[in-house]
Amino acid sequence: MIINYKQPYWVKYEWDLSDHKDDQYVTNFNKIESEKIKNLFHQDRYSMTIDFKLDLNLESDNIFCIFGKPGKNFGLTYNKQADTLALEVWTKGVTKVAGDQFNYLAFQGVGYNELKNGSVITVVRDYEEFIIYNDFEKCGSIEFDKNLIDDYRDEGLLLGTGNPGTLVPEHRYNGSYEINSLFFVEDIIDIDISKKIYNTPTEKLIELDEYKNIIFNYDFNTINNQGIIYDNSSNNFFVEKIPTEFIQ
Amino acid sequence: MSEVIGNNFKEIKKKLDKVGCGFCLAKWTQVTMHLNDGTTHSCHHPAPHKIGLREIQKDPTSLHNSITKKKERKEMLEGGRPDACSYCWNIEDNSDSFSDRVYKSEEEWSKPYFDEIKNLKWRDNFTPKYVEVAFSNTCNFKCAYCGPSYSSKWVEEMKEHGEFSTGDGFNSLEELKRQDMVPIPQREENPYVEAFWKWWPELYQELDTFRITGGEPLLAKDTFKVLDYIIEQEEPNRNLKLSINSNLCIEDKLFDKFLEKARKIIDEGRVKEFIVYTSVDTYGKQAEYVRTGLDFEKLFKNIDTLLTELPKLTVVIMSTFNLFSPFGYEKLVKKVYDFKLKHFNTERYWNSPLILDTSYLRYPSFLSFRILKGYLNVEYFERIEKYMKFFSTYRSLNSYKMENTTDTGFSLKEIEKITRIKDIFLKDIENNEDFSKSKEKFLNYTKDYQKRRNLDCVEYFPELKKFINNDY
Repeated sequence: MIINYKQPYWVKYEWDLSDHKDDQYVTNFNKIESEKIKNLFHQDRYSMTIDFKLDLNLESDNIFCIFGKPGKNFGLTYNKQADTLALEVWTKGVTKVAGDQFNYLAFQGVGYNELKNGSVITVVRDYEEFIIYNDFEKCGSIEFDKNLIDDYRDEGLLLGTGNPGTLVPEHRYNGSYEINSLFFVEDIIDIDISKKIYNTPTEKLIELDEYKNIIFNYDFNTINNQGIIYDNSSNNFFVEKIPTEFIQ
Repeated sequence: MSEVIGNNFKEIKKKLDKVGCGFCLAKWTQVTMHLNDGTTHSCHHPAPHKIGLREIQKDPTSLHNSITKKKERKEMLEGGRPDACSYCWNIEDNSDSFSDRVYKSEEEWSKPYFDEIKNLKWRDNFTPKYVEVAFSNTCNFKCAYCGPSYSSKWVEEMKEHGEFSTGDGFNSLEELKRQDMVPIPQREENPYVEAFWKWWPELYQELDTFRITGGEPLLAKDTFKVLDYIIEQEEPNRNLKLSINSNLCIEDKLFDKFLEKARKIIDEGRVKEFIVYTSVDTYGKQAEYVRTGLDFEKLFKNIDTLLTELPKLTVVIMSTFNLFSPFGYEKLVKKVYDFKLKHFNTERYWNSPLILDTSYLRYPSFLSFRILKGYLNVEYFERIEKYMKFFSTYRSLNSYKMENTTDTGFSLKEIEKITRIKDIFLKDIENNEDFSKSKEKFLNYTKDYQKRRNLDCVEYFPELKKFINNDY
């Protein structure tokens, strides 16, 4: 699925699949903002894997988020001018006096030549360390002292943007790219398990020992008649387009 | 259930009860005739009973108006409740739900005949409006849960290998002999089929629904005779709802022959609707293990052809959810959804081109999904339900006409069938049901199955390995 420029998606809600009393469509489901999703990245141990492909013929800002969160830079970004893919994240200052700390971890050797053919990127958090993988091969790590800043707890996970609602165009990080799959596994940091989940057909996920650790799992070709993307995990964190009122 | 519909059922129940507390219109209006073994029943709930040869020689409508059935009608008209209809009495005595006696009497093929039937004498004949017929047990399949009455392949296997070691006489030919219900091979003369054809010209004009079952109906010459009859009529019964069951894995030549006849009937508007019912219980090779003879790819290729070539036709998959179903069912559901999208149009007789109608296997109990209690996680059912709900459509399949492809999806009815299975599974856990005897039979059955058909259960179902080895 192509995420178009300024038409980003978000993972934000937990959906209730019971019947909707006021509508003849069963698909018009109720949903509530999920605290689990908001606080996803503040957990101690997890891994998130995304399969995507870049095409610079598609419209994008100079720097744009493959995934991100509003506030100070957070997420997986691609810088067109520098041809660099990087993980960016702010963590809390070590002391009250020191300011928040910016962490930048570039995927060395992973440029457009590779990304245009499609890549599988995994970001692992192991307590105070982020480890990054390209196609399940380690390509970098960074250590930090304190947890991520609390600003990130205010919003879900955004796809194809960073700050869609900001009035400052350079801070929006809007982009366009092709996304195939995305999944998040909590309490598991073994890259071989990420690889196993990636290679498991969605209907067979239930047979994995790690099934319950999968918080969401999307195949972006599985979309319903309301344009919502299905969650193949045991949860109902479906993905939807961010409504236009939240986009500048 | 909407209030209006609920009120309709209350009203018809009141009317029925006024005649007699066991009065049911289906005893007159509906019939299933197993011409392959000369049995009949009305409706499908009471066990079929044998029709006397003398009866049909004297009056071919005895295929429906048999002496046994007339006695049951007498009881009903005189305020009694025939024992054979205990399925409904159980529901009426033990719950607040309406029984099928009410539902079937409310049907459009029953309700208009209320006064006429009420005023009949018990010996009077009545021409049924909803007729199911099996001409023959000739079948190229031998599904694990089927048997000799419905499959000639099963007859062959039982003759060759004898009884199973399940210890319960499963599919025993001796038992059929004892009950005088041995199927008459298609190659032999069948007086019941002869009687049917004598009656058919009169019956045809009065029918609301006619459904051909089997065996494999497309291997029965009489099925094509019915189709030809409809094609040849100068004044066809254009109110007829015609349904044909088929495993859709017959020879291409035969399939093409059926396709052309169906096309003619549909294009010339000779019926009100034409529905093809087929069957599959899970996905791919696993489905082929359960239904010996099935070619999964061919089945869906032929469904695709039917839905492409006949833009008004609807295909219904009658899925018998069994012990082997859970592991591939989600994938099957996804395939059905793809077909719903691909073949959607606004011309179909029913709203959806392909419908998944999931019932669950009761007999033989050793192949029931219920014996997986304690082994299988209820999430298997929840996942199927979740997927179908996510890709659902209007609440009721036939209440609203869909207008465009974005409206296509699973109906509430299709989803509820899965919910029902999940609920049974949950209830078994709650009630601490014991299925150990059934499991023992299952293990013996699969061993015999492997010996006879060279099909290794664990090879097809690695998911069952621990279940079979008692390692859980």
